[in-house]
Amino acid sequence: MYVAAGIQGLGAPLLWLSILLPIAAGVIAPLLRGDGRTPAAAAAVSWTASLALLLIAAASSWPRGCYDPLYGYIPGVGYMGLLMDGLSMGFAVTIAVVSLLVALYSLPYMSHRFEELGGGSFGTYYLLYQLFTAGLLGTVLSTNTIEFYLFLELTLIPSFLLIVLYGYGDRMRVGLLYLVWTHIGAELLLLGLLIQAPLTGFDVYRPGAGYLVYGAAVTPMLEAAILLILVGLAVKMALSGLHFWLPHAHAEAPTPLSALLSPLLIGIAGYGLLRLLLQVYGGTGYLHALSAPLIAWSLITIIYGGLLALRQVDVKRFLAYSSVSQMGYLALGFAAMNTWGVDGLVIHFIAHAYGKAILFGAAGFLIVYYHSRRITDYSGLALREPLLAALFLIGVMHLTGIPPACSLWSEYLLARGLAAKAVSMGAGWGGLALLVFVAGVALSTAYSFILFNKIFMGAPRSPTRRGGGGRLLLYSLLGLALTGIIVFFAVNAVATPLSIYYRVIASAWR
Amino acid sequence: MNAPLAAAATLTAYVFAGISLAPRARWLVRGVVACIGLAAAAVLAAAAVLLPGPSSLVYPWAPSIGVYLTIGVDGLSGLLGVIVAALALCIGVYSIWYIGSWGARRYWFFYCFFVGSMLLLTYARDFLSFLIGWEGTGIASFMLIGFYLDDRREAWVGDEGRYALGVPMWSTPSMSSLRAILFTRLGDACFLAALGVISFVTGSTMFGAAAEAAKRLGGLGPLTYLLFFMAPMAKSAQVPFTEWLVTAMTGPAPVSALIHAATMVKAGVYFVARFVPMIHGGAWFSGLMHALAYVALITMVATALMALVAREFKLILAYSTASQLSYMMAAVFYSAGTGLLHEGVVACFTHLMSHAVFKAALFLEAGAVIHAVHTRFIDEMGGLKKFMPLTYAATLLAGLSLAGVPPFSGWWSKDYVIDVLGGVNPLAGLVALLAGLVTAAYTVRMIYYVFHGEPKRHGHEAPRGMLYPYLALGLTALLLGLLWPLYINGLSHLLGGEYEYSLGVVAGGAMAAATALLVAMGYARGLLPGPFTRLRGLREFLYDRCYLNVAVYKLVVNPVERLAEALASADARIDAALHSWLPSGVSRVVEEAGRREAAADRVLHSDVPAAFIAASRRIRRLQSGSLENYILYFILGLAAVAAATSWLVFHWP
Repeated sequence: MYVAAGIQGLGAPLLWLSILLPIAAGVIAPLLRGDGRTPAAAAAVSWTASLALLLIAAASSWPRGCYDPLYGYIPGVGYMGLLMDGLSMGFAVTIAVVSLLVALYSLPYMSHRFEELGGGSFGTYYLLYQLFTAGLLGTVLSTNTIEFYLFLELTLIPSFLLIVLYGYGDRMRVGLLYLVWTHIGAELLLLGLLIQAPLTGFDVYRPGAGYLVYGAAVTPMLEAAILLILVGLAVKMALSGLHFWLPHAHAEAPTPLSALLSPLLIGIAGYGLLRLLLQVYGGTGYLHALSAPLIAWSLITIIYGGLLALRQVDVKRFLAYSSVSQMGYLALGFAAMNTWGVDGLVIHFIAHAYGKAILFGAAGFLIVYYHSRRITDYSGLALREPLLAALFLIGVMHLTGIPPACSLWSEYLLARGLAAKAVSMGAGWGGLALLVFVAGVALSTAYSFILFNKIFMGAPRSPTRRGGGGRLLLYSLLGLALTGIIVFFAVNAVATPLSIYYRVIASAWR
Repeated sequence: MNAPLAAAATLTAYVFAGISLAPRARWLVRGVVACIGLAAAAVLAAAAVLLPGPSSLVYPWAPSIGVYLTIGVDGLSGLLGVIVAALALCIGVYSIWYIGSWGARRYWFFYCFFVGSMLLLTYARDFLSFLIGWEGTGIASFMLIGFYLDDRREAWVGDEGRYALGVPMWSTPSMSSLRAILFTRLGDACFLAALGVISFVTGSTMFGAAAEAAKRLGGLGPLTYLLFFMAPMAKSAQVPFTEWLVTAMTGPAPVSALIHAATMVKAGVYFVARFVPMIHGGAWFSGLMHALAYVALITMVATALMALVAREFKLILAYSTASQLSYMMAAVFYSAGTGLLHEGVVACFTHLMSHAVFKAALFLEAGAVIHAVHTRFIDEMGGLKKFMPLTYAATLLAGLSLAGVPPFSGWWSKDYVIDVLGGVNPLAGLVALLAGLVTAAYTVRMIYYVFHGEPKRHGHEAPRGMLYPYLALGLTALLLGLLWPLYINGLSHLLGGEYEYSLGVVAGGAMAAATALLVAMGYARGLLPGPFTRLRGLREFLYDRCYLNVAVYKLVVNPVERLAEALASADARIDAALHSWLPSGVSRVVEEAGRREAAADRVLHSDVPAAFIAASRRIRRLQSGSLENYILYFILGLAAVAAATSWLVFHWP
């Protein structure tokens, strides 16, 4: 059944334009002459325009959100449209901001990488970059599960090629590994979506009708579909046990891609959990029966990723394992299956997006100017690179919930969401869940500050810096840091639409 | 009480933190500007107490997730705000000359941010605003404890190369800052989980929710409030969290003064004084309070004894801080649920106030001394009263206050704590009294080693900008004590309780004074530490911090490292299985399949056709075109048919 959401259509197809403009900039990138600055400028302009369009659409329809007036109906598949509601607003704007700033970051970084590789084409890079990032945006704006899947797959091939063409180490192998794992995840997801379709259809939002919410009994086939979707998204999200691809891919990808893969792409699976599972099946006993085991899985992921991060000597692998740990927080938000969990998941996605993009960006700075990824090669760098140290600290604060990072809100919300479950589970299991959560938060602090400490504090002992400059790298990271701080203050802009969204779907569950 | 002014004080500190980031300013300008901001904050904080106005202020920050920035001023928060801002100003003025130009920009940013965060948590009336301030003090202390980013040797704490059961007992600035954030964040994580439960159960993030949830919570109540109170235990360095505080000495002296006197550790005491009186949770809550009170008592005694054997000037003061904080905590924990609770809060707060003043003075003096003689070890100092008479005088004023000697403020407050403890639990009162005598002993020992005896190094008075602040603080410690009877009733009234004069306070003061005198005479006549040098085992045990550091490493750090190592090894094996063995296994299967495919292909597409071709060739030879041969085949064929037919006819069943 569909529940009315009170969402208004826009007067113009701003959402489609927000996706198509970056794609157009990507398509023309290989045709542009000159050095990398032209395609980089095209990418930046396209993402600035996209961000402006998204903000106009959000502001004009805040807090309920809007849908694009341009949508098509495909018999048997449903309505292919775009929706920016309370749930997708935070995701969409974050994707646009991070894509814009990482596009700028890419210019100096990829110049260095092309030198290392003995050549490379900015046209090709930005074509793939733009397709990838536009795919990310399309995924969170989709109104239809097949459309969601198609956009998700659109992210896959360009990112695979970016790894294979410009990655590090045995990049062909890593690229294939990434492709196979995440494609398997996507196929499991698709299989689940197809199995459920006879009972639910493909539209998660239908213009004029509202949100899809499944209110009938969950049949064994639907149970299988739910599990397939869950596991498919868990692979994409790299929850512990299904995470083995992530450290390879995120560590060996070209750093701008790592800065997108780690916070954005895997985080989108969190969006998928909310949109495809919680929204649709939140009213069913079957999904709620999964809550406790999913809480356990999430907490294990937080701890597991954190402990593994502590053992890494490669800064990018360190950050990759920390992403596994951070995905545990997102999964916890879903597992709580309440309004605080949903709020916590979305705000933590945003916090992690800015924080992890900054940290990967900073790791890229080290690679470009100090030519080493080994953490043990660094010590006391803060005195030599104060701005980089400040940015890194802000990134760390985003991972650990220290204000003015918006993860302060998400950690509180996740704690409250978990507490709601803990109270219902009783003093035994509930208490244990709270204690493991405490251990997880403490561990996140430990690995984050240990990393900062090792690189930036202590007796100066770092490799010699090669080359000057780096302002564009740092300024783009500064942009990310400032935006993250703005979200801390402007959290209401994200939280209010989310609470309205949750209220609407939860009313239908009852 | 005026909440808008309190909010303005907080905001001023934050704004001046931002201003401190201005590039290309001279160090003096930077320091003076920051101090102007701190002075403004102090004036506003005082005005917030003195001027009438709305006592609370609410800004709906994010109502949908329960975030209301709520600022309120009452006696407790108003007075603490004044103490924080005033001491921050005093320490700030000292810092201008102490810090100089190296790292000034970073220093002043985090200094003002620290003060702003402390003021925010002081004035907050909801848990989330409180949490912002609370976490703000955490990150500021991390950066200030590790201020000497280059890990310069003179900033280290502990004896370099000293190990206890294989665990290093010294610490560098970078290590100390990491320890500080990890220890305190463990408490914060506990608080976060408790906040989750409290806000869920009550649907509110206002302070009142802590009281409400205690009544409503069932089986999760004890754990929730244990987690809740872990935050102040960690922040205020109670056992086993003392470890972060004692190594936090690696920060500049004014940072130590700020952390120990006005911010950070006092936040935990404030937490306890604020929330314990609100909560009535039944038997389990009383049990929890008693357990925490015992922890405070253990901390009180253990750290006082450690201070008795420590060699480092600032380390003695650090132990002393942990010990004095325990007095404050114990006063509230022990009196919780009794008729003496309000007295407990008054005792806690008045000791917080007097401790803030004398401890700030002592740390600033320690900074001046260490700076002058270039060593942090008191047994390498001596006779400095000749070179630094004013510093000696100030140290004496502040030290006697710490020792609890009448008529200093420390006497009034500490002995009142002891009196309250004795009223609730005579044994606790006795322990606190004995710890107080140890306090007097270690204070005199410290002063003796630094300022008396034969000079071992030359020293000089600190510049006036550094000297005046601690002189002023030393005099304030005396004045606060002298004027105590004039203001204490008004102050207690603001705190919602009463200060009751008792004989116990006088007796305690007399005993502390006698102890101080005896110890001083003992040192002067060479009787000390003579007899105690034979207690080597005990001395080493205390010198190694009762092996608390060892316990932290052996019970937490090392097991976590081993677990991480084991998981990393398992992860690597699974990774290898999935991405090396599995693909190579699949590859072998594919190769084998390929070989079989090729064999089948050869049979089907090569051998079989070849056989047919060979057969065809032979059959074609039979078709020679010769009529005789064809007739012969025909006759043979007929014979074969006839034979087969005959066989069928005769053998058919």
